[in-house]
Amino acid sequence: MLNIAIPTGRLGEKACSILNEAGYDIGDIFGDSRRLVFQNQNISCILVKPVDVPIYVEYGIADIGIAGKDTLLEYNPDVYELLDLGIGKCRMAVAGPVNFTDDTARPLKVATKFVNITNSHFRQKGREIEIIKLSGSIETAVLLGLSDVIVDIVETGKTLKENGLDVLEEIFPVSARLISNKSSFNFKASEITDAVARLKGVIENDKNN
Amino acid sequence: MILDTSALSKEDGIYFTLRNIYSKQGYSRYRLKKFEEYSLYLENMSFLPSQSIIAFNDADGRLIALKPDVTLSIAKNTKATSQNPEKLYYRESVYRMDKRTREYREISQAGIEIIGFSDSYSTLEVILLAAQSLQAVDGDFVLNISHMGFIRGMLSDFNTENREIAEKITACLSAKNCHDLAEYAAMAGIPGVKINTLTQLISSKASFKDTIEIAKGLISGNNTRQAVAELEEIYDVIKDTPYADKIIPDFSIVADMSYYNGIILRGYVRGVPKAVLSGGRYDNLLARFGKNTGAMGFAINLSEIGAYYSAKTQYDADILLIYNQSHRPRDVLQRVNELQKNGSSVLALQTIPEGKRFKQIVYM
Repeated sequence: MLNIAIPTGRLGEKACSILNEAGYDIGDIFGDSRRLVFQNQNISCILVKPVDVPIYVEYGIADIGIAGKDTLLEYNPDVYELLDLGIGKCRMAVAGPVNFTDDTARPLKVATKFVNITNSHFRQKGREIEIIKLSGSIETAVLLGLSDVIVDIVETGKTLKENGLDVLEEIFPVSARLISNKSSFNFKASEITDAVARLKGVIENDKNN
Repeated sequence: MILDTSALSKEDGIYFTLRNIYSKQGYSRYRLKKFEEYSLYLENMSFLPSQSIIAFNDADGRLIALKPDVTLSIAKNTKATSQNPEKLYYRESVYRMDKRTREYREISQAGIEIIGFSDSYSTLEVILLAAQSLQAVDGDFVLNISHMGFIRGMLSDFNTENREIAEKITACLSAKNCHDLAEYAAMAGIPGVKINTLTQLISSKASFKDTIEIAKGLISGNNTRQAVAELEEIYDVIKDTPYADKIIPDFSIVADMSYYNGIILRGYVRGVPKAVLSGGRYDNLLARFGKNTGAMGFAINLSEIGAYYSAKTQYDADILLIYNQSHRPRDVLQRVNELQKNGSSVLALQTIPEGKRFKQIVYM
């Protein structure tokens, strides 16, 4: 049986409905129950925090998992990335005050959850920065003068606008990916390729409708 | 003396079996120093799996490093040539930083290296020894095989002059990432038919024979043709061995082309999430040290295996023998020997230790 790591939160709910459409019959695992492990005759699901999905898959606790491209690029886990699920679409972006001008005479202060992505982006641009690592509500960092800009995922840009900020630069597009443990891919090859084919069918079907 | 291998830890037990396999094939034990000059690693940084190295100064002020890798040291130090080749096996500790915890770990590795060989038989011997080594770890294993000549040939046939895109394509290959691969390949102007074949090649887990048939669709230059021919030659022999269905080609395995040039190996056993065996042909690495000859080898990560096979039994010892000050040492010794006679392990203590378990407690 396949073990799958599913992220909690909004992405997880979308992932659930795709898995149901693909015939895994997991129902509403985010319903009223507080259970974190769910199993039927098809599949065993583990509900974990989105950033932890790649860890569960890399260490083989889950054979496959659903993770955002943002977490994959930030943590660079040693896993296979088998499918773009096309859900949870957003962008990784640099955001700042609407009329922001960069003072190149001093390091740029950047607040973010994504330290590695931020570092490599600004290294490529040759801009010296000072990173301030936060865990949430990144927008407030600029509002309260903690940082000059932020690097974060932006879905509609509504939260940014409400806080007087705007996207200054897009870094890359983000969507959810199906990942797999490299060892499991050898020992559960047919189950994993079957899951990829079924999920691919659902995605293509959704695209055509 | 009869050695009871069941009493060894999984790591030691496997090494014991491996040593037999390798020495039976005529390989000799090679010992390395714990240290190398730091510059060796600095110049070959991209060969190493982790870039952090424990370095310190010796008495003369030279910068020395605790070795993070075995193959580099052997490649640098070997005196072997095509006329005077060597087949070696080793068991060594290497020191690497764990990517997640950012802490140094001592990793126990065993493996073989053959230096001075480029013929088909020796390649085959290394592949079969890799399969035998995995069999010694666990009967339920898979040995993946790839070919750097094929990957390199394919990329040059694609004519991707943009190095950045070539790198991105390679990264997609190793992640079996077909969705982004299609996008980058289209950017590089690679024909759609070839992209489809390449996608099929990395996403399916087909048999050796079928995979080679798919790979034939990507032959266009000499490099790819030679690589496929070499794989066919290997298949022709291994199909009649007990490992026929356990050696499976996987072209998503990509190694650094400035070091590796031919066959690449990765081995997995069920229940261990990371590759436990890795290696390949590294003529290019030897060439970097000015040695113009063929070399191949693989390493088995004994620590990784040990972490997933616990040898811990239910009891800390079979019998706990409790004695006190009033007993004569001679009597205690005699009692211990008596109790050990039927093969039980005996721990002699004056008090019952906390948190330990014994089958039986005996008082003097």
